[in-house]
Amino acid sequence: MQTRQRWLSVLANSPPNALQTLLAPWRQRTEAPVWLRRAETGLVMLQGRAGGTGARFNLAEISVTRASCRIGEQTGHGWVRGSNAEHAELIAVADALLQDPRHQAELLTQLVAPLQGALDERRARDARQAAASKVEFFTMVRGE
Amino acid sequence: MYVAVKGGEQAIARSWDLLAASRRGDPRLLELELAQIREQMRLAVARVMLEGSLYDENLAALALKQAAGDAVEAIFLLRAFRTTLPRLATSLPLDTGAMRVRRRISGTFKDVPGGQILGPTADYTQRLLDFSLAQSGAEADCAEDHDPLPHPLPNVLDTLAREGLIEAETIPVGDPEPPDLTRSPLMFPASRPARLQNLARADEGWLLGLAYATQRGYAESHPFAGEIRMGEVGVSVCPPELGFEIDIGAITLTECQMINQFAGSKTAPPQFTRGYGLSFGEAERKAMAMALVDRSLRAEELGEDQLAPTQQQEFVLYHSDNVEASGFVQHLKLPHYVDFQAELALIRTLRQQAADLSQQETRHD
Amino acid sequence: MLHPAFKHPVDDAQQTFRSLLDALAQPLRLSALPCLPPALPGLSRGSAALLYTLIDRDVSLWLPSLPDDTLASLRFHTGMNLAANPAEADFLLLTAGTPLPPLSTLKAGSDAYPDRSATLLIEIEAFNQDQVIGSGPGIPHTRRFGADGLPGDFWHQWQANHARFPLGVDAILIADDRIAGLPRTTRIQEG
Repeated sequence: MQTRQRWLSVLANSPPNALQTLLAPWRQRTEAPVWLRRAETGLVMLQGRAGGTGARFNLAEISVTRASCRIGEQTGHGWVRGSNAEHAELIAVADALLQDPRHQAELLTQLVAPLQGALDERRARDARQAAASKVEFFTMVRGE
Repeated sequence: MYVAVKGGEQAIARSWDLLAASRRGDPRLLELELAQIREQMRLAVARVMLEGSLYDENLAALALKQAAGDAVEAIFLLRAFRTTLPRLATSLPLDTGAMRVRRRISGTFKDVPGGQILGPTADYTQRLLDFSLAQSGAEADCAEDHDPLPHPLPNVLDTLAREGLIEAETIPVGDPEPPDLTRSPLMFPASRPARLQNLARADEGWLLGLAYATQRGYAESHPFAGEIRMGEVGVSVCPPELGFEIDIGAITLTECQMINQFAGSKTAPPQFTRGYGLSFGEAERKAMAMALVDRSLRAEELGEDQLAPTQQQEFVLYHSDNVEASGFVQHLKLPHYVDFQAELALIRTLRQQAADLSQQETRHD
Repeated sequence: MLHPAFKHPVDDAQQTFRSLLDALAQPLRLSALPCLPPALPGLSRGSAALLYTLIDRDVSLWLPSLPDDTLASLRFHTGMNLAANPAEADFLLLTAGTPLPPLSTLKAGSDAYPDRSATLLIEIEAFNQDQVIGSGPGIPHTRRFGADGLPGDFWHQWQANHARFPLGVDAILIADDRIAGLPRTTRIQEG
């Protein structure tokens, strides 16, 4: 489950066109998905906590798109923020294929790993750029 | 009283054409693309998303385009649209402690763990109009020659909390489901979770004015910006078909933790108290104003005197929503013909009575 | 395993909702549901169509015991919240043979909010015309009606339910793909 949780997170946080490109060869060579739920956009209520750590409160909603399909024996689910129908369906297809023992190892290295790498690099770049705006204080000693 | 008025259909249709033409402006110029609004007007987009109560940059950009940049109108459009979508789930509480921070400052400690990180801020600009922006082409080059910021970045207030100098902010027993103002109306006295939802949706101008008033003396407010952080936070849901939590993507949030003095009460020792603000995108002014007003509205629960309007829940919360406010102010444009005829007749009668009376008095003299 | 639902979730649910409105506006008149999803084990197609149309995560539903696949599919397509007992439910589905909870114990609304009451979806075997005579809003004069497979004292209980108006429960009777509406406003005479 942890592995699945991780790949679903990587797929949702990756640009849909990158996902589509990497997934394309598998879609050609595996059976077509049976859609249990075509992409559907709805809302998720975002909750925060007072003071960041206290009582829950409703902040506002966020648009979310989800889709579910079956490929062979596997059921794949895609949930992604925003209203990109194709992204949600790509995640559902990838999730179904990733659960198939025949494809899993290959897909983890050829689909999930490169997307994870790109995501890590994007996050590291943002963190380096933010760090560059960190204040270095100088203490001025005056008087005797 | 309102009167059913018929007619005017053609005039209305013509007004739509005029509105469309006026929105488009000079047709020889390129039309705005949504991606341009989304990327280059990101603070306007953030405001529309937050007060429109729907985080979706593309829809907010569309609303801004349709409303010709009128934030309040765009907020109205987004609010109306969200009612057409089904609610699929409730998120897990956003973990702002795990934020991938791009800006984090504290007005209370110089040397906060992790440092003061300025990020993309206008605070240190001189507010001189930059005429180089009148031409296009300039691209910023951001330095990347530093080690990445530590992740997660420790919270500033944790240091005070460890010493017990600030009130603890902990999960109440049972972690109760908060009220939802989009499903059930605001009731008074409103709980802090209900107030925070109202303030998050509140008009920024209204909140800013009230927050300013609390600082000028219309509340017992002596605030410090304990911490302001901005960055990306993952949104997690637990879909029933999966049965475990998944991350569905990150959103940009700004969080403000205000610290306020508190003299103590019979039950609580003198300590610092908190005001909390949370907003979308880089809407920092909104988060700060929200935190100040959150604190002023806590007067009753902290046993403080409630002398200022900024401490009165009904006054603050009932007038904070700009969709409601705009609707009620602008409804005066609707036909009130019969209403007004009645007022007119009344004024004429009263004037006649006054005139008759003064004539009688003249005769008596 | 999850079963598919409506072919066109939005359009089909809207059409089903429309036919439900008609059924309640013209009580005891039979109508055929316009869109039928594949059946779920233990449920008729009509019941599945009504559940996909009426249930979402904002309402609570009471269900009799059903196969796991059916529960998982319903949860997947509707986001349903199951009520712990019939008295707390906004909607109750009674499959054929499920004992009827006493109507007087179900949510009947309050004087301020009579709409906050339960709606029963009752599967029956077949409709007939020889049990009762109905009258009231939506029925010109009277309408003869009957349903095979209703619990013995159902009509007796219904008279008490009608007498509580504006409080009370409403019901939809389902025989496979055909439904009849029975709102609390309908007066029933046995015989």
